Amino acid sequence: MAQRLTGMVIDKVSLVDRGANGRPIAVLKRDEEGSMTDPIAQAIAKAGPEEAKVGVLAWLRKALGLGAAPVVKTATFAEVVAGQELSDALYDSWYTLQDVLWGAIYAYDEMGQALSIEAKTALVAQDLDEFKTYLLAQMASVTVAKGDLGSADQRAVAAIVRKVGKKISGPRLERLRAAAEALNSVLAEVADVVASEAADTAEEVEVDKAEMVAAMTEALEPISKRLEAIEKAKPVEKIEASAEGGEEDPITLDTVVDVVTKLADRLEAIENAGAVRKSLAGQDGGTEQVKKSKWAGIL
Amino acid sequence: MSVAFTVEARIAKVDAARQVAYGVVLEPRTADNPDSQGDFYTADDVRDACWAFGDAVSKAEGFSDLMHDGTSRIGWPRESWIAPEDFTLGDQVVKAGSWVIGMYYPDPAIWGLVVKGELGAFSIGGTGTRIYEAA
Repeated sequence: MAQRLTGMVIDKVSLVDRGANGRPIAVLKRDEEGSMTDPIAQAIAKAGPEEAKVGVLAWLRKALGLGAAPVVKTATFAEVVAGQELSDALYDSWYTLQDVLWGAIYAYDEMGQALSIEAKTALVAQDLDEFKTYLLAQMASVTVAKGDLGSADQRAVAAIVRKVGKKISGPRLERLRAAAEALNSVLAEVADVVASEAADTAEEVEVDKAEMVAAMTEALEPISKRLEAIEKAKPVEKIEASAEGGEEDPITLDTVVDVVTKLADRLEAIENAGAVRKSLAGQDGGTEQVKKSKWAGIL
Repeated sequence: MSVAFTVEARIAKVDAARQVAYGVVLEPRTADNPDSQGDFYTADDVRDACWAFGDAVSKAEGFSDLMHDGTSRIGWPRESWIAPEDFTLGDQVVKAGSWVIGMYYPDPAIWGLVVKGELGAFSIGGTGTRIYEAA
């Protein structure tokens, strides 16, 4: 029964380094039944019917000792890239293998005579061995590269470890310091807010009136002494501090503010009347005003 | 049955001035004179393949890469035709009905290698259908 090849469609044209050992045209075919009719090709494809069912690649897997095709689940970028690289390597090397096998199958000697089948078989075997070595090396390199990456956690830890011990550059150190200061500032503000909230909470606690008066008296003691000192130095119209509201009225913030305001008014009135000194020595820390004659420094 | 095939076609002639390399892709065969794998293809089959390639070229799919790299586009067909009669192309006798292709390689470096014979063949891949016919 004759075999007719029809419906041929070209999908690839490549410029290569050599033809089929000087043959003008050589056609190599493969199909899913592995029906290469060339004797050498048949010898190559002698892999049994079960391998032929799944084609040449399956036979190659067996020839390379790779076993059944593993179920591969590519989930990460690195794995996909590694798979692509291996696939590219397999693709390229497959065509190269095809070329060299073709050359071996139709090898001629120096006299132009076809080599013996033993010699051709040896060439084919050598090519396959070299192909196996190459492909396994490619797979090993991809496997190693992938293994080096590790899991996501391992990669994160590795990134941190790589940074440890490295010298920090000046600009980066400055940026880190600025960031630390900014962070401290934020923390201080937060602490103030927390303290303020705590204080607000404290004001809501019931306070005894006597305690409040005692505290206020103690707090205002310096001012009272200052007032007494001024009044002794120069009597002024006494400003009566009249407490508004009954003693039994509840103490509120308004009450405290009112008391302090009146004391301040009293102090201001005394100071305005004297106009000599604004404060007692050592109480304001300021520079004492000294009147100097316009002749000072001349006479 | 679907069959994948690769044609190794030696470059039979180069047009140095035009940088076109010629080769015979397929020549018709008979059942009595099949190829090395026992297949034959008629003149009609060869012509259909030639025309299908023309269709691919019209879709910008007829580029030639280099050494099966799959990515480069180093050349493209300027001629693709069926030999109307027997003739001689370089040192090769071409039978009538053969598919002849002329690939243009504009890169001087590539073309230099073609002229030197270091790049001396087309490797053409495709698919076809094998049918069994009674002898």
